[in-house]
Amino acid sequence: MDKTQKYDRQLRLWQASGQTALESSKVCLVNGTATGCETLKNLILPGMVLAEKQSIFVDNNNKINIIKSNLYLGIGSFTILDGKTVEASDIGNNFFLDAESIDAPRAERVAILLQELNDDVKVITTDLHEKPLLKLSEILWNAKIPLIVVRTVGFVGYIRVVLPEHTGNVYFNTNVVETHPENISDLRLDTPFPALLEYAKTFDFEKIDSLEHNHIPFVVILLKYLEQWRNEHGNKLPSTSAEKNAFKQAIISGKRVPDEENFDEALAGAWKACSVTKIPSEVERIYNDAACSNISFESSSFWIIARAIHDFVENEGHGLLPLAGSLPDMKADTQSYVALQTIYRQKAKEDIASVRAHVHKILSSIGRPIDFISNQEIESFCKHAAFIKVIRYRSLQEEYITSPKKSEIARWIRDPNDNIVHYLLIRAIDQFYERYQRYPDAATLDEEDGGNESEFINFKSIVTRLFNDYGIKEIPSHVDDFIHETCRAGGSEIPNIASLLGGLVSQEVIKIVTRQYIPIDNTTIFEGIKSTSTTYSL
Amino acid sequence: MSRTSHIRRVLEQPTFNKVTQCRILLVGAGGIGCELLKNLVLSGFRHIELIARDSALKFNPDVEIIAHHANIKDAQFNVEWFQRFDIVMNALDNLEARRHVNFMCLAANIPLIESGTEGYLGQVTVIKKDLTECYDCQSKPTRKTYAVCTIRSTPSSPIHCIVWAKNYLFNQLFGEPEDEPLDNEMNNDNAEEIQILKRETELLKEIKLTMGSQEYAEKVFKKVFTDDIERLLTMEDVWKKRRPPVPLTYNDINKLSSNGKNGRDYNNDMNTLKDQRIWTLEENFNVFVDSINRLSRRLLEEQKVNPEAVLAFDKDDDDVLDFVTATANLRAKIFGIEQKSRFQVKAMAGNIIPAIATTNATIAGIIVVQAFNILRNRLEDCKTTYLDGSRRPCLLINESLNGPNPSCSQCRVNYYILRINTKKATLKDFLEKILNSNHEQGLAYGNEVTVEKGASIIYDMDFDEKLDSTFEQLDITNGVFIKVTPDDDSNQFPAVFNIFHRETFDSQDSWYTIEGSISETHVSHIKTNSQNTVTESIPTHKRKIETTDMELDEQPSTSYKKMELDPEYIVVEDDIIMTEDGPKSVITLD
Repeated sequence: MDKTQKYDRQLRLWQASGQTALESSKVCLVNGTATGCETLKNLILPGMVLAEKQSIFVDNNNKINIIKSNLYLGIGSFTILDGKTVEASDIGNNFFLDAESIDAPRAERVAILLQELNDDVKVITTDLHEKPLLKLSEILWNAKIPLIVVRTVGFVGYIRVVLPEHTGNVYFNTNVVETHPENISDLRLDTPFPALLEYAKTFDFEKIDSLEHNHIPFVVILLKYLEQWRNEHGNKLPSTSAEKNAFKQAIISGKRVPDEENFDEALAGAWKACSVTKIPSEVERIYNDAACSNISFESSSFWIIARAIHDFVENEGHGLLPLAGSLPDMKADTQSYVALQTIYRQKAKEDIASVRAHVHKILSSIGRPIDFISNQEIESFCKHAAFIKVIRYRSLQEEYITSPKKSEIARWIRDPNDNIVHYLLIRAIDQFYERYQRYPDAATLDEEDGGNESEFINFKSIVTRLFNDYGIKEIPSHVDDFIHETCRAGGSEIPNIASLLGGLVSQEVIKIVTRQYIPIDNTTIFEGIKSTSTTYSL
Repeated sequence: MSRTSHIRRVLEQPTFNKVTQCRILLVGAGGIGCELLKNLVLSGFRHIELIARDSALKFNPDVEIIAHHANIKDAQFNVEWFQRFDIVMNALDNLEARRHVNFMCLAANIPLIESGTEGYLGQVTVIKKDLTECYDCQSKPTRKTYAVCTIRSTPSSPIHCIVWAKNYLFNQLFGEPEDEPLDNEMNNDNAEEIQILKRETELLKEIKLTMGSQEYAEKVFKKVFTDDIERLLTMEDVWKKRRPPVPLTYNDINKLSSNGKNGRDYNNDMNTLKDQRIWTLEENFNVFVDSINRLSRRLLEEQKVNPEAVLAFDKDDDDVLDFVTATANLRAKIFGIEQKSRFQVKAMAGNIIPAIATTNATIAGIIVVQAFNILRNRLEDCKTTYLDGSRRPCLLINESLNGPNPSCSQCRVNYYILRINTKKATLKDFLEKILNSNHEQGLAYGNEVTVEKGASIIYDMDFDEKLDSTFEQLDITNGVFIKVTPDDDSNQFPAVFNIFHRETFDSQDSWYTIEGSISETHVSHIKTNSQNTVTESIPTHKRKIETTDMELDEQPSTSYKKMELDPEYIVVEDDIIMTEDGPKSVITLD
C-alpha cells in the first residue's frame, strides 16, 4: 500500500507538510504503561517514524532518571525507556502486551509488539532508573525539548504540556504557524494592488454579452462598484449600515437578470469588501514582540521570519501583511478565474520575495547562512502571516517551586465541581510514592469493609500537608470523597481512560510536531465520572 | 494481580459485576469501532456482539465476541434481537445506518451510545427513549442532489462532472445502470433535451456490447466526448445563455500523446505529487483509455465466473478512481470547467471525512465512560461530549442531554411488539379489538386513525376497503412494521407495531400478545408501566385458534462467526459517509 493511500484520510487533515513533519519527528516514551502505549499507537498509526527531532513522553509511574545522552539514542525511531518487568495486571489494561510477555522486561516487549503495528517503525528500549520528573523536565527545558507529562489515576487523567519559551531549533519552537483558520481569503478589495485594478478595468460591464456578464468574477464586480462608490463619496468606503445597504443596492441594480449568480456572490461578499484590511491586533503584538526586535544568532527561524515580515510591513507592505494569495471558488469562466488566480498568486509571490530578501538580510547580519531557513518555510509563514500564534509556557520549576499559583488554586478548590482537586491529589499520590515506594492501597478486593483505614490516614496526611503548602488551611469537605476515591484507585490505570488520554495526548503531540492548530496551555484534567475536562494555566 | 485488577479496583465490585454480565452490541468496526472493541475487552466486558462488514480479531479467550459479517439493516436483526442487549454502541460512518439503529433502539427500548468523528472533532451522546433526544430529534443535513439535466447536459462546476463520471458513465459501462429518473423530471421546457438523453443512453448500451475489444475505449470516447457533445450543441436554445461545450476528438489527442499506448507508466510515479497535481489533457486521455481497458478486463474476468457480475464504485479502488478522475476532467475540459486532481476527486466522489487515530481513540474512551454511567443507572451523569482538539482552549466540552423533541416523529411514538396469527387476524380485528377505545384493555386509539405500512396507507377514515383482509393478505408478515397515526385532534402519540407471526398462544382463549414501550406522556391511557405485556382473550367465535403445520419461526438463522487472529486489524481508519447507497447500503468500512 503506498503512503498516499495508506494515509489518505489524515493527509486531508494536515496536508503533506503535516505528514512530512510527523514522519521526520521522533518520540521517546518514558515508561510503557497502558496510557503510554495507547499514545504511541496513535502516533505510529499516522506514520510517525523517522527522526530529525525528538520529543519525550513521561508517564511517571516510576520515578525517572534519564541521562541526557539517552535522549539521543535511536535515530529514526521511537525510544521507550522503562525499567519494569511485565506483570499480569499490565496485560489486563495494556493492549500491547500478551500472555507470553509476563516477566519479560516491559520495555522490550512493548517495543516488539508496537513494531508489528507499523513496519516503518523501529523501537529501541533502554534501561531506566527512577528519579524525579522535575529533574527530567529541567534537563529538557534547558535542551529546549518539548515534554508532555501524562498521568492516569482511576477515572482521572492529567496532561501537562511543557515547552520552553522558544528555541534555537527551527522545528522546536512553541510558535504555531499553521492554525488552520477557517477562512484565509484575503482579497484586498479595499486596497487593490495595481495589477488587480488593471485587470478589473478590462471588463466593460455595458458592452459584454449576457453570457460574459453572468460570468464576471464577483471580485471584479465588487472592485467596480467600490470604485464607483469612492468616486461619489470622497474616496471613502461605505461604513454605516445605511451606506452598506446603498452599496448593495448599487450592485443589485447592476444585474441584467435577477438570477445572476455572480452578482449574488458579490452581494454576499459586499460586507467584507467594505471593511478595511488591517493586521489583527493580537498578531500585531507578536510582530512587535521583544523577540522580534532583538534578533540574535540564537533567534529561532520563527522570530527571524516574523522580524522580516515586520520589516516588510513597515516598507513594501505599506502597513499590510504579505498577501496570502489564495482565491475562493466563484462563478466565473475558467479563463477569467485562472487570470484572477494568477494575479493574486503573482502578488503573493512578489510579497514572499520581498520577505525573503528581508530574511536573508537578517540572516547575514547575525552570521547565519542563507539556508538556515528554507524557502518553503518562508512561504508557509507568509501564507499564514495573519494567523500566527505564540504560546509561552511556564516551566514545571515555576509551577511547583518558584511561583506556584497558590491563590488561584486555593480559590478554585472551594468549588466542589472544579477539577483542580485532582491536580493536587495526583501530586499527593506522587509524594506518597516517594515516601513509601508504592501507591496507596486503601482497598483490596478481598476486604468487604472497603478498605484499609491506616492507608487512608497516611494518604490524607500527605494531602493535608500539600494543601497547606498552597495556603489551604482547611480541606473542604467535598474533597474527602475524592481523597477516598484517589486512595482506592491508587496507581490503577483503567483501559478506557488510558485510551482517552492516549488520544488526547497524541493529538497534542501532533499539533506540536506539525505546528498546526494550538496546543493546550498548559494543563488539562479529565474526570471520567462526570466526563468533564478543564484546562488550566498552572 | 489479575488482568482486571485495575478496573475492578476503580469501578468497585457491584459495577464491575454488571460490566462482566451485560451484553453489548457494537455496530461498526471502523476507526472508532476497533478502538472501542479493544477498550471493551480490556475493561472487562465479556459479552460483545459486533456487526461489521469484515473484521478479524482475537482477544482474551474468556471474552465472548460474536461477529456478524452483515448489514445492520438485514431482517435478522429485528427488534427482538436488539432486545437481547443491555447497551448498543454505534461506531458508524453514515447517516442512514445511524438512523436505522436509532429507530431499532427506540423500538426495543435499549440505550444507545452514538458517536462520530471528523478530523480533530468528535462527539459522543447517549440516547434513551423518552428520557433524551433521539438521533432524529434534530433534523440532519440531507445530501445534495443534482438535477439530471445539470449532470447530463449542462454541468457548470467540477462536482457535476464528477457525479456524471461516477454515477452515470461508470455505472452505465461497468456497474448497475441507474434507473433513469428522466421521465420524472420531464416538463415542457426540457422535453427535447430528455429525448436526446434517452437516446444517448440507448446508444451507449450498444457500444457496451463490444467491451473487451481493442477499439472499446475509442468507441466510448467518441460516443461521450464527441458525438454526444455535438448532439447537445444542436439544442441551440440551451447555449444562448451558456458557454457552449467544445467536443474533443479522439484522433487529435491520440496524436498529441505519444505515450498513448503506455498509459500505465504514470502509475509508477503514483506518489503524492502526481496525485495532487492537475493532469494535462494527454494525461487524462491516457488514463481514460487505460483505466477503461483495465476495468473491462476485470469485469469480463468476473463475468466468466458470474455472468451477472458488475463493478461497484469504490473510492479506494485505483482503477475506478483513475477512470472517474480522467473522465470527469475530460468532461470539465469540454465544458470549460475547472479540473481537479485525483486527490481532490477522491474526496469529492467519495465524500471523504478526514479521520485520525487520535480522535477515534479519545472518542472510544468516552464511549466506555458513558457505558459505565448507564450500567450504574446514572443516566443523569451521561452527557453529550464534544471533542474539539483544534481551536478551543478546552479539549472536551459537555452538554447535558436534552429531552426528546416533542414533535419528533421517531421517538415521540409508542412502540409495540404484536405477536399475532397473521394468517387469521384481519385489519378489522386489529382496529376494533386492539386499537379500539371501547375495549377494556384496548390501546384507546379510537376509530379515527390512519394505518400505514411503509409509505402506503392501509386504512384511514376514507379508505376502509381492506378491513376484511388478513394481515398476510396485506403483506403484513413476520418482522413488518405498521404505523398508526391518530387524527390531528388527538393528544396521543402515533404507535408503531412490529408484527411477529405466531400460531399458538399459551392460553386457549388468547389470540395475540402485545409488549410495548410507551412514551411517558401517553401512559394515562394505559395503566401499565413502560414494559407492559397485555394478553387478551378471544372475543368472538371467529377468532378461534386453529393449530396448523405452518412454520412458526420464519426468521433466517443467524450466522455466527468467531473472530480469528489478525494482529494487523488496525488499519488507518476510514470514516466515510457512504454515497453509493440504495437498498444494499453497507454500514461499515474495514
